[in-house]
Amino acid sequence: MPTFTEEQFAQFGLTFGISAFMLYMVFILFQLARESKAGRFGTFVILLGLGLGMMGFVAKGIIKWVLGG
Amino acid sequence: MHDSAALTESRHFNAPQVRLSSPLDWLVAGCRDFLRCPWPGLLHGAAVALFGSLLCWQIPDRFWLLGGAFTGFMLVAPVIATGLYAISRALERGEPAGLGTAVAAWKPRDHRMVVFGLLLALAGTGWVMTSAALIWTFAPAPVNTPADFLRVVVLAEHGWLFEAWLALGGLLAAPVFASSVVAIPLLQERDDIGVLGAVLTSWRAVMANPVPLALWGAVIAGFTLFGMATALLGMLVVVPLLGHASWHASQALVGRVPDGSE
Repeated sequence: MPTFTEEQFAQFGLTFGISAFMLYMVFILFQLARESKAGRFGTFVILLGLGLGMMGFVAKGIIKWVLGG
Repeated sequence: MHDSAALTESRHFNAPQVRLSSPLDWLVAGCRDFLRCPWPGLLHGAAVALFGSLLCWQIPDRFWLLGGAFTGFMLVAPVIATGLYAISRALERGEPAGLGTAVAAWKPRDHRMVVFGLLLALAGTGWVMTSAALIWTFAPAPVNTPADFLRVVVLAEHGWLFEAWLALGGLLAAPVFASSVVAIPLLQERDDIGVLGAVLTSWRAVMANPVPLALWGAVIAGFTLFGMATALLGMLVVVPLLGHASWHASQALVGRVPDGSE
C-alpha cells in the first residue's frame, strides 16, 4: 500500500484544496449575479470585475511561488 | 417613438448565442491563423513589446503612469489589432494574406475608426487616473517603481489591494469591453454602420452572451498579464494570438439579419 509523506500529503491537499476553493468562488459569483437580479449586463459586470479580482488572487500566489516567497 | 439611426443600423445585425466554451474555439482559430501567417503577428507583438520597453526605460520611476499605461493598453488593444483582423478575414476568404494586408488595413478610409480609437484612448486615460488614485490612496507605502508595486502591493502580507485594483479595473473595463468587443471588425468590414451603431451591436452581443463574454474578457486579461509578466517577451505571441482570436469572436457574435426580416 503506497504511503504518503507529510509533504506530499500537504502538497496534494493544497493543490486540490485551492482548486476546490476557486470553483466555490465561481459558484458564489454566479449566485451573487443571480440573487442580486443584476440582469444580463449586471451579470457580465459582476463576473468580469470579481473574476479579475479572483485572477489577481491566483496570480499573487503564482508570483509569490515563482519568487520563492 | 422612432428608433435612432444608430439603433436602426444595429438592427441590421443579430447577436447569436455562443457556448461557454466558444472562447476556447476562438483561441484555437486565432492560433491557426497565427501559424498560417506568422510574420505580421510577430511584428505586431514586437511593436507592442518595444513600446512597453520604451515606456519602462523612459519612466521607470513613475509607476502611477507606467502601471496605468500597461493595464490601459488592454482598452486600446482592439485598435492595435486592426491589421490582424484584416489578415484573419483574408485567410478566411482564401485570399492572399501578408504584411501588406495588415498595412492596408491602417490606410484611412473614413473617420469612424479614428473616432472610435479616440474614444478608447479617452477611456484608457480615465483608467490611468483611477488606477493611480487607488494605489496612491490605499498603498501602505509610496509606490514609485515597478519593484515598489511588486513589494508593496502584490507581495503584501496583509490586505487585498492587488485584487481590488484588478477588480476595479474589471468593473471599469466592462462597459468599454462591451462597447468594443465586436465594434472594430464591424466598422472595418461594413460601410453602412456608424460608430454608435457598432457600439450598440457590440452591447447587444454582450447582452446575448454575458457569461461567455465575461470569460472571454478574463481570458484576454489573463493572457495579457502573462505577456507582461514575462518581461513583455510573451507579447510576441500573445498579441497576435488574441488579435486573430478576437476577429473570430466578432464573426461568431454578430450575424447579418436577412434582408426583409429586420
